[in-house]
Amino acid sequence: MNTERRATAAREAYDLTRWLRLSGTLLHQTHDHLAKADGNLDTKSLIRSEARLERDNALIVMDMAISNFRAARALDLDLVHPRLSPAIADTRLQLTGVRRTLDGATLLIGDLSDLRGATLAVAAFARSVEATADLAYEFFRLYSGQPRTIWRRDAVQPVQSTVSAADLISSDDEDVAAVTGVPGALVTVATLMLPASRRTRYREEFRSDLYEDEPDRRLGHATRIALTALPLRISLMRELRAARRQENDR
Amino acid sequence: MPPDRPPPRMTMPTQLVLRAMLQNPSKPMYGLEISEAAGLPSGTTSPMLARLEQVGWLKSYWEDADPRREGRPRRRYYRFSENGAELARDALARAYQATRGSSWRPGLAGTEQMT
Repeated sequence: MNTERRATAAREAYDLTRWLRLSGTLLHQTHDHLAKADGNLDTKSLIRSEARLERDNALIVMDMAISNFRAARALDLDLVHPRLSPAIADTRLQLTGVRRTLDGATLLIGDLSDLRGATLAVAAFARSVEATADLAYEFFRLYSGQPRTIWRRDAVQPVQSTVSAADLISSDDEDVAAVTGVPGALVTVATLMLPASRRTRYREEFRSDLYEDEPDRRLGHATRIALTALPLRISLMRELRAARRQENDR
Repeated sequence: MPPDRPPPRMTMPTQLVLRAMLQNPSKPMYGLEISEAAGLPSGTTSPMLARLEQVGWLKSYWEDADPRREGRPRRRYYRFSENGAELARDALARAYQATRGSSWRPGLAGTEQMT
């Protein structure tokens, strides 16, 4: 029995669930804004731009989901305890349903004219993944032989991160009116993707901009910062390489 | 422009950012202010601003203010470099000509401001 593999799959499933919930919420909000903007073309076009970003966000998460389901499905192979048979059958059904939902949602999200359908599909998808995550967690908890306290749900951390949840979410005493909670955590994660020499600057800059945004827009703002962290990293790395080359040439 | 640095790609969001800043080229602006003026979603301008800074069109600096007195974190301001505004205007004009000369029409939100 590969307990490490189970732990990884459970953690991935749980992490994914949180992202999908966020995507579902953002798409719901965008749809509501879009509905209210009827007749105001300027506002409507801006909101459609927001919708495209949220759609991209959802698609990225769904891409993650495909590899995640493969990992979760691998859990079934080693689980033979009769007590778990119904749960395994449920998981298989869930996985089949989720794949169908995923295909449907991708088609719908591809066409922004059916944003409402896409919203519902993402929400359904998130619920299915949540159920799968719960089962994956239970499988791991029952079979890992680890004390339950070590693997509590609220102790599950994002995979491949050396930063604890407390580090991500706690406020910084040095900051004036620091942005905390999920937006603050997203900005911290985004900053960690940047080259080490630029982290301090961008951390402060991101947090400053986030603080000045309306509180109810901060979650979307922070999500977009996280999504643009990769292109920013590529750009900064290119700059650092050019500077290093110039130094070597001297 | 620093030597051996190609000009930035004039994507539609980059054009919107430059147009917003050229409304008042001598005025420093911070990230959220730029995205609002450009009609772009907040949190999406950092890669563009970094590229424009790298090619020497923009300069950035920290606001000289005491966060405790202001009651908010200090801002990172962006402004055009000495010849940055001129280079940006030229690039925008070229991009506009290229757009007019083709059958392509912008599909991004906020482009109504371009016409």
